[in-house]
Amino acid sequence: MKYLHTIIGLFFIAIIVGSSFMIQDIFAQRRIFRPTQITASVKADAPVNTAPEQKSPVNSVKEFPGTSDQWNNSNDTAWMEQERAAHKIKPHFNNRSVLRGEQKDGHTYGNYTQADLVLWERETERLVLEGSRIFHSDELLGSTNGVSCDMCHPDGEGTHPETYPKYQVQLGRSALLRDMMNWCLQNPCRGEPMNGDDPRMRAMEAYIWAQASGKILKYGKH
Amino acid sequence: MKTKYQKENLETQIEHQRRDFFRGMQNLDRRSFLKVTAAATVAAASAGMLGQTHTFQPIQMALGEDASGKAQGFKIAYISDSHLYVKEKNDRFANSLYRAVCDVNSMETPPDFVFYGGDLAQLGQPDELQLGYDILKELKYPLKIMVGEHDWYYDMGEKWQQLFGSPNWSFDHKGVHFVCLMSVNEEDFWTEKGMTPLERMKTVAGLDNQMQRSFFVGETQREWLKKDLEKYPDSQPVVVFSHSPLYKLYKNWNFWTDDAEEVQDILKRFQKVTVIHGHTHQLLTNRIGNIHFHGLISTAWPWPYAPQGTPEYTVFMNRSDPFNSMDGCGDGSMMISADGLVDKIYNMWNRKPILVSAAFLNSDGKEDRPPRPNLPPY
Repeated sequence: MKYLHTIIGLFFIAIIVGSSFMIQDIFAQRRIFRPTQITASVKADAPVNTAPEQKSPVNSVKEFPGTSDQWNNSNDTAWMEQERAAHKIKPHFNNRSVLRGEQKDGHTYGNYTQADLVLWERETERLVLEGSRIFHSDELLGSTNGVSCDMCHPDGEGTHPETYPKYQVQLGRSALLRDMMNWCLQNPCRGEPMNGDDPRMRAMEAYIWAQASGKILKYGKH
Repeated sequence: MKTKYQKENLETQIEHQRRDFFRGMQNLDRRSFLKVTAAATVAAASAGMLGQTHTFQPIQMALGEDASGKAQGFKIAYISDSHLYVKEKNDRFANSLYRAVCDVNSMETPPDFVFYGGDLAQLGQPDELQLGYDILKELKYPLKIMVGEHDWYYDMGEKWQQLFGSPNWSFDHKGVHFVCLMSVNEEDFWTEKGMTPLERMKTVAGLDNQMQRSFFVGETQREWLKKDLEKYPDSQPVVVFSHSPLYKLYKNWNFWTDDAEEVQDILKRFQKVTVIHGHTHQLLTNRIGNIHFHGLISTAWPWPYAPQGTPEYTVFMNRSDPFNSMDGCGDGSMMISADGLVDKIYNMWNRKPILVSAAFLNSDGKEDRPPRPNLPPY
């Protein structure tokens, strides 16, 4: 019984801590891009509090401050203009048809406006452009020998994401697109593989998929 | 003859046939030499060795004619697009170039000269070009070299010209006129953007980079070419080297020369013209009128085929194995027959060499078709 005070105390502390996380989450959701999405790329086994003088793991965003900084700052569009001028990306799908039709009135989900269309396109293009930027940069990829993706895959050509998953005898298993991307990162680029939730991996996948726009999905095709 | 050679791959077959043939030749006088030549031709044809006869045969005939002082057939080796970084940064590309040099040095039939197709360096750095120079120095045969955009746009060709001399040149060799053009000129896009030399180089180095302009040969050089060809009759065999293809294939990747038609106009009066170009890193074949076009493969990496514009004469090469960094790369040779026609051999590492003959192009692709791919582009 003499520990009851301590237990009750801990219980209240837990509630306070938990609710503060929830509040943070609610605030975070109000943003178009939650910072947790962007920065949560540190490997599971990576040290959480890396001292600044220590070398952080390759997958850590800290080594690539440009990636998340430019990303988080919605007002900074100069890099997007630059990327758009340098590398051609396939156009975003035109969703104009969702503004037509009578059922949209009174349908919460279907009641889109022109503003929604602009938002979808701008944000998705931003992800694709970010992917293009990494795809074309040996530094951002963590390549150690100057090789970047575009050297073998100009405009993302020859990446054929529409053929995955497929069995790769050299890997001994059925591979997803990202498995092949990591193979390329480790071998032709002699760099480190990326986690699936690495913001660079997500952005590059977005770019490769965008460039394959219009292709027909044929999984397992060799 | 059939059983003896057919299990070997194409290039070895040709080498061995030729070796045996010349061994047999040693003690013959001119009359019996011609007789044996004819007999060998018939034997080769009856053995059904289509695909080899034309590379082998014209050279025999040429050598037969040589005794009476006429033109000769000969072989040129080529290496192209090594895209070297300094060795400390990337040893793979340097090793690949060295492998190509060893390939050429160990050719059983020596080439008359070795042609290098441009893009020796990746970012035009003086030490990259110097490394290339040092590796190419190992060649046993004379080197003729062309410039590529990767060699040029860091210092606008300063170091390259210091090492290799003028980017455009011409000479006659065994009855064939060779011309090399500097076809990777671009209009100034860098001054107004305030780019540093390295930024300019990196922009040009990106194949899909849209900030750069299209390649062109330029008026000065076209005038030079006209003048250079003036004194030759229409029957003169001409071989033109240019880094970019001298026709319009795919603008976004600069598989393109802006004034290609103007250059073709200068060349079209000749009955036998072959254009050899680098830049595209793939099996690429075209014919426009009399002009035959052949691409070179790279020692560094293969490019995918452009989404559009690949000429119908091109027999695609198999897709490259992503798990083998050497696949789709290589070097090769050209057999130039006495009548000035060029047969092209792509010596692809880890693959059987592929021959694209003049007969294939002259017959509109009906005869002597190279083997079709089982892994065409997706």
